[in-house]
Amino acid sequence: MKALREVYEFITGGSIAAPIGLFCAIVAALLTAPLPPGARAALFLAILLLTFVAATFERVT
Amino acid sequence: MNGWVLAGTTFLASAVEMVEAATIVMAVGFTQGWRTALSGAAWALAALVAIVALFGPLLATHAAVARLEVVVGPLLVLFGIAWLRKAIWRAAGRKAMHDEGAIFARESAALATRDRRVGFATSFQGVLIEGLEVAVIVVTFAATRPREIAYSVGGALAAAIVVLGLALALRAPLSRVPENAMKTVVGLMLLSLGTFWTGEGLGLSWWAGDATLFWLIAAYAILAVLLFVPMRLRRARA
Repeated sequence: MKALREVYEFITGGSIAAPIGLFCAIVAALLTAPLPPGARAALFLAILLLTFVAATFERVT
Repeated sequence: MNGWVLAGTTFLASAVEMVEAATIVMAVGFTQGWRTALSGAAWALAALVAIVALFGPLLATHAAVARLEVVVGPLLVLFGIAWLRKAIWRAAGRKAMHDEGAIFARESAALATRDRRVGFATSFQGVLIEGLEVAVIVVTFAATRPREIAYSVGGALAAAIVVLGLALALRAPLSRVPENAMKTVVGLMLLSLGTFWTGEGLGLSWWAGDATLFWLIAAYAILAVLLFVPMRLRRARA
């Protein structure tokens, strides 16, 4: 359990918002296949930018 | 993808990790002797070479079959966010600056009362952990862009030469290197590259092709400034 936590900390730097936001961005990009490619890229980037904002306002680790 | 951008990113990312490893090795060297410090570092480097030799080719082969971008990209996004938000926190005063001088003093005080095996283990662990982070960055870059392997390896080697040269020249804690500024740039690059590669791996079409990378760097940089300024002002008022 401790090792898992260390791996999680190593990859995410202790952020909860970053992996959740990244997951949402990937799922959104996959589910919006019928949209124009440019619009999908814009949606993907918008979610990642919001993820970065959310991660920055998280509790300091 | 511009190979020099790749080399620059690898150089900065590797240099940050190597500065941390060099600080630990120097702390051990000054307190337990250079033989103990350098033998710990040498064994760690040997272990690193073995790890990369075992897992590096596997990663590269896998990259030839599947698109690694969609695996590597998200990792870089997470690394990038972690680095960049920490740099913003430090610059805004929400988190203490990463002080190599303080690390050096702490390691020196702890080692003064212990035997040389602890010195060896400290040096070994420091070099192995920081070296693994460099190896992950270099191997993943090289696996994703095999044609540009020389740039990513060259970036890491240049960082090793520069940090080693600095360590030899200064023979003192490396706190003079402006680490937070370096980490900000590295965080921006990792986050932008990760976003770009993940998008490519998912089959998204970036508006300006490879040049979109520069727009991503600019977008994240502007956002980082917009986040930093109010955080800093609020801190100053408190």
